[in-house]
Amino acid sequence: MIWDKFIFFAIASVILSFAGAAFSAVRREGRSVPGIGLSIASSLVLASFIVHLWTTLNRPPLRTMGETRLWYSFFAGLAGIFTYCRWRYRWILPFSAVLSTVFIVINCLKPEIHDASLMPALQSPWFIPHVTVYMFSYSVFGCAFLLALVGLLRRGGPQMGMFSSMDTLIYVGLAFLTLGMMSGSLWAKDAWGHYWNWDPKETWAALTWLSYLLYVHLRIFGKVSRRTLCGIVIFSFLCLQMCWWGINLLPSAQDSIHIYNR
Amino acid sequence: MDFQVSFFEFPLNVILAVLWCLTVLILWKGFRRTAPVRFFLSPLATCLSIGLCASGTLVLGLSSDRNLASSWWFVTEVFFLLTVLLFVTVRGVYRDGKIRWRFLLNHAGLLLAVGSSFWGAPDTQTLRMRLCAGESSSACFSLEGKGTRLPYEITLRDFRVDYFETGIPSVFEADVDIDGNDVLLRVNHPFSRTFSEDIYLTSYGIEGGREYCILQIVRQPWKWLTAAGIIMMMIAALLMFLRGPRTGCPSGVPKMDVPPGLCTAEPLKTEGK
Repeated sequence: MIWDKFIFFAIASVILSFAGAAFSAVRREGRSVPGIGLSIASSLVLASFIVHLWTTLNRPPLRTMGETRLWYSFFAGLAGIFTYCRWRYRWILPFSAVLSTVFIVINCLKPEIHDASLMPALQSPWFIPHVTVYMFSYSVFGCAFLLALVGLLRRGGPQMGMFSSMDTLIYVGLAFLTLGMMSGSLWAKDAWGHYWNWDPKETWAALTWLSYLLYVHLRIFGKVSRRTLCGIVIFSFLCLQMCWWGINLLPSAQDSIHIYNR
Repeated sequence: MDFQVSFFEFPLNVILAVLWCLTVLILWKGFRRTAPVRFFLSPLATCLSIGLCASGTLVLGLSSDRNLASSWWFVTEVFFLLTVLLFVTVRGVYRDGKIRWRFLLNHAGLLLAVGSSFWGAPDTQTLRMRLCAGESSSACFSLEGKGTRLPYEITLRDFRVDYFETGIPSVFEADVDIDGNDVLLRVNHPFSRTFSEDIYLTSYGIEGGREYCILQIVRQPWKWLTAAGIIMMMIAALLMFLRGPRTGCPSGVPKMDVPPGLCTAEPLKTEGK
């Protein structure tokens, strides 16, 4: 079984990502080159497992929850590296390391690798870009969620300084979420005949998108309390979780046309 | 109570859509200092319209009733959002004599994608046809079960389903004759018969020992506008990623349109690394 080997890749990736996170966290100014290098190495370890899985399964590993979690872990690391290189936030690599590790651990405990088949509805050129940009946006929103949570829990409430980072993360996440939704609607037209079906998964995706859009506009217009803004980011991320896996718990989703992603 | 979408079929929907656009343009040109126009252009209306749509979508997401998307209250929320979006788009496209591309693509793209789906919904038809191998027919049914006839015939010559070892279908395709055209229909590969009509291979099954296919005929004359809106939004998303967060007060919002207290919040760009 391919997933039996995952534990070795997982341990290597987690050790490398936390080592990179430690280097970046202790560096006061500029970018930590060892931090970036170790984080890239961690992502490469996960990437090599993804390639191994892809070539062994003879299909893109994007179907089961276990497989999408694997991509999430990979993109959480990449999102962290990108954000750190671009804006040099010291906290971002530790955050992304924690995020990535959470999903790696879940995959080790519960891989959910039901079968190796890819049904006809998923055999489309839209499949890979649609799922990967979604996973990337989920990872970036995960960082924003942690930031909002820290802001709410800290004594004195969220600091103004953190909103600079949160805005950047939300803009990047929203851009990729939009790309995911729009590519999904073009695919839906090819597969089912309509761009939008108000299927439970699509409904929760629309709610997530609207919720982040509200944050963006409230930030532009201003004069909303910092706690409210953090609350919206947390609510949006919870909607995103509903969209990703939470809808499987809803009775209304039992006849969903997106049922294959469990 | 559901909104009676079919009542607004062409040409009524086009007349109403044009009147709606003209009304907004006339109000913007000649009455922009009046209270209603100032409201539609205010940050409050923008946030209210997004918030209302989000609330409606939350109800849809928690409910098992798919028909709620055509309920009068949800249609009203979407119409309010579209009206605010049209006002804001008309106002914000130009600034200092330049076209603001990111703003235009984001707002006009959303307006086009949602607006064409909204106004085009009465003209959208989804029909289904069940055919056994070797059969020809023009009879089909709407999703509500209403029978109708196509102006041409479809013949199912043959169809093939292959399976993985797990029992999940790997290939599903049908060889059909559509109005004299030889077509191989597959999932994700519909046949475009006209600019507004596409034919899909939807499902298959066995009844009474005979295998059959379900074909779906979708007539959607407004689909190209929706596709244009979607593509505009995708380009806007790329620009959003590349350029990052906006700073300060919304561009193109004249100070008179901003209620006291708004746009005076802390700047977006702050120290925080």
